[in-house]
Amino acid sequence: MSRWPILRYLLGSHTIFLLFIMFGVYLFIGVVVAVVAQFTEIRLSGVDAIGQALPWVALGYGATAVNLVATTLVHGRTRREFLAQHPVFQVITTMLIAALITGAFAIETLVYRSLDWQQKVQEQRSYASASDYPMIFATHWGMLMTWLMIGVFIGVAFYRWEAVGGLALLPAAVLVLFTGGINGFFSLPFARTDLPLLPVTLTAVAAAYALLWVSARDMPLKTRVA
Amino acid sequence: MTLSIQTTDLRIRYGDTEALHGLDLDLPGGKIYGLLGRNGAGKSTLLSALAGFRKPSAGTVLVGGQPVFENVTATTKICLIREDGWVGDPTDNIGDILEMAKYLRPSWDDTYANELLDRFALPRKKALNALSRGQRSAFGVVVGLASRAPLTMFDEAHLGMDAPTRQLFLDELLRDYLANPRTFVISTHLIEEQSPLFEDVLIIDRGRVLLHEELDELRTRGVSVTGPAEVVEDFVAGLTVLGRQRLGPTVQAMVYGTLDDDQRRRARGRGLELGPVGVQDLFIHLTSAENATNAPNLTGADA
Repeated sequence: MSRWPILRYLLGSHTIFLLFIMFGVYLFIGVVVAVVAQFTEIRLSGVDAIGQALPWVALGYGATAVNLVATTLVHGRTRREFLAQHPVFQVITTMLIAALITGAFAIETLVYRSLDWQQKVQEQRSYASASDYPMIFATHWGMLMTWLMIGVFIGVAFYRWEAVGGLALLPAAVLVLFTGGINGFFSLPFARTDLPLLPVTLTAVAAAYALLWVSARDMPLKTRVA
Repeated sequence: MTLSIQTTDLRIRYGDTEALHGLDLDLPGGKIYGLLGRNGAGKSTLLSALAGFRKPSAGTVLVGGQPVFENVTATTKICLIREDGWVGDPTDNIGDILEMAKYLRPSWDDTYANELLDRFALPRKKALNALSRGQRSAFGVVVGLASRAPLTMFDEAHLGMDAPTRQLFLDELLRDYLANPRTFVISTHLIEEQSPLFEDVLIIDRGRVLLHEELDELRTRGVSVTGPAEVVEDFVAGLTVLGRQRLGPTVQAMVYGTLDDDQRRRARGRGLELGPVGVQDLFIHLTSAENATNAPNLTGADA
């Protein structure tokens, strides 16, 4: 029996698909910025601006993972395998996407400099400038991991408990607010911004995983309405 | 490879409702079992427990001697195709779902899966949620058969299929069973259509096993006695009568149990006609409200 079949499947299909999609998104941003530049002066980083949508994309994609749990069970695998292998997929895939985003920032910096454009980033971001690459990478990786794990948890909770699963939104909101001020992607006025990025991210991901584990470890597979 | 099934005092509750009431089963491997029961009898719940889709509230489930729930050694040898036919993400096309099955199922036969796709005329590029109800069921059958799982179960997997496709399903199942012996469990309401496949019949009612018998044995246990009402009533007095149909002065009584040579001679001598009772007739009578509660012990050990 081959080892880590769910992980191998996800890396061979979902990861590649997501990287292609993200690559396409950033190419599209380049085109949009070029068109806007015909009409007005460019002062903002396009790559940073689109980053505002990334947490929600990660959350939505994560919520669909519950279909994957159901499918893997139908094909003879277990919840325990999913709970062990999907997080590894999350870590690897979000790391690759964060690297791709960092690369997009670097390419944008080169282009903006050659055209003498300003490359401002949102004030609340944890990275000071669009060329602070280590921080850009760490921030995006942490944010994507956190929101993706929370999304998987919410999807499983709604599948398992239906309307009552809405209670999952409470701990999810706490985790989002807890990390939002740190990575600068969901910063409300009262959010703490002075906590260290890595410990906060790891704590949030671990907490979301614990909630996911409790929700999914003995989740019954339901029959869908045809 | 075939797998046996054992359950001991299996109970499954949904909130306040108990769907299975201490169900005991002992099914040897390498047979085709027909699982029959009325709506709400607990068939789907039982199959879900056997496949590890649902954790039992109490009791044990062993397949091939191993516990099932969250035991990958067991679950990879079990395939349950349910009536909804959802064997993948609804937005994935069926080619991608087969690709996924190849990763996940150690016993997956990709060549056979592709043959079956052609045989059932299923389009590889179409998303699962774009298939018609019958096509989705046919695709479920493809996944079930190509899994080559030592225990393969179909729970009303034929829903929405037209008659030729259902026949193709039954023919293909039998062909593959002969070529690759394994344990099949088929849950169905199409009793007359699908019962010729069964080797053993299992009837559950209200969460309990009502009957477990070989099909041939079951068929011999039902006898229809037809003739003038008074003669029939006199003949069946003292026998277990499952039901009667009356047409004018003529009555047909369905009797549960075998008739010995003397009884048969006596019936013929009085001008009565003896005939078989269909499995569906037996099922209807055995699971009807009054018969199910008063039925004698009909499980294999005592039948």
